[in-house]
Amino acid sequence: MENVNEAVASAIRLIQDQQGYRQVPLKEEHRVVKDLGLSSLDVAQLIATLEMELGVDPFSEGVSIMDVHTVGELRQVYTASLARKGQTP
Amino acid sequence: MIIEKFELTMSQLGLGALTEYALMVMFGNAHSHCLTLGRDNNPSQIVDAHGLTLYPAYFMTHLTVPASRPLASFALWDRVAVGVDVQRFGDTLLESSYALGREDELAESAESWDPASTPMMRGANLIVVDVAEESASRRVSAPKPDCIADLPKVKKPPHGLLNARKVRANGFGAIPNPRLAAEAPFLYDVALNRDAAPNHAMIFAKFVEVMDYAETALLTRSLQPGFQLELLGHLHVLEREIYYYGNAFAGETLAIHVKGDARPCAADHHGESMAWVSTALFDFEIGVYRARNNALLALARVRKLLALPTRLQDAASDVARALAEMD
Repeated sequence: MENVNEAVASAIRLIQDQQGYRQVPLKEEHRVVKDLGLSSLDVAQLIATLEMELGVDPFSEGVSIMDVHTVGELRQVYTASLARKGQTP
Repeated sequence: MIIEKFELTMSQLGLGALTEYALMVMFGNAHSHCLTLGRDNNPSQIVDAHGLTLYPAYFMTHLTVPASRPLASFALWDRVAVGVDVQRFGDTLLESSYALGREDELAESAESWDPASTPMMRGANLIVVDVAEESASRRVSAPKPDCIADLPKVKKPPHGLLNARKVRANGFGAIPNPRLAAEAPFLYDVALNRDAAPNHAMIFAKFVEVMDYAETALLTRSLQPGFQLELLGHLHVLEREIYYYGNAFAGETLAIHVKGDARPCAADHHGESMAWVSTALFDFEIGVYRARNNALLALARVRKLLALPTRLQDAASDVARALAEMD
């Protein structure tokens, strides 16, 4: 779980740095689009980066990107995907 | 990667030669076919986990055309090949290379396509939920694996992704002292069916026509005296890089800001062909906005070569005089 937490936080920070977005301490309940202000391009980059970092792609396993709104939900779908593959999150 | 071979027909070219708009639509067609290669569905049947229809929205296109081989050298009824190679970054970002050649000209490997000898384009897309109204926000969503081709995955973000942000923040900065500029933007009404289908935004290639409209207006109406309209038919695109940030629907009005510069060039800038006399190189930077609220829709930089047919070469003097008067 720690790996997932770090990967999600790091991927979001990367985009915030590249875009010059305001940075605040990440909370589970932060909505990626509405609270953190990530655009659709940013979201696309975020999930591509997480796929590379974590080696799993929950969105090719029937999970819809549009059902994932918050930082916490993002962490959960990757944790579940890793667990399905028998890997330690 | 696919290479499609076909004849250029009136449905693509009308009665003229190949245009930039027609080429980009042909590239878009091939791209769509590539996305469903080996699948039973067609490109309009790419859906996400909820069954929502998705489409690949372009956020960058970069066309390059060799001066020795303008698009006008591809004529009605010519047999051509269009190649496209698509790669995927994550689930929803696509990066593509395109090429146009004679029927048997394109190599089977996209790495061998040579921008010095054939028109090429690079493009980047974001897969989003299809929307039928301007107010709907663009929502990214991943296609179900069984309705999209197995595309090779890349580990690096598309080149256009970082550039899209950079250009949005800084512009292109390619024309520091534009001598061609209008005091006000040119307005363009997006017409139903002509520019956008009912309940659909404009196709990406339509931005080229919108930009060309403003460019022509600048050169013929804003300058005093303006360029002779007939000569502008011999302006050949060499390069156009567009970043798309939004889109428009029928009924909307666009405000197009265009600035540019021009300089004389060698008569053989296009190469050895005696059919043409190269006269001048034009550079433009163009911004397309929604007139109602000034929302940015696209930014582009364009380079064109004015190459007159040899029978019209006396008009090169008019161009030379016009360029000199700009100083």
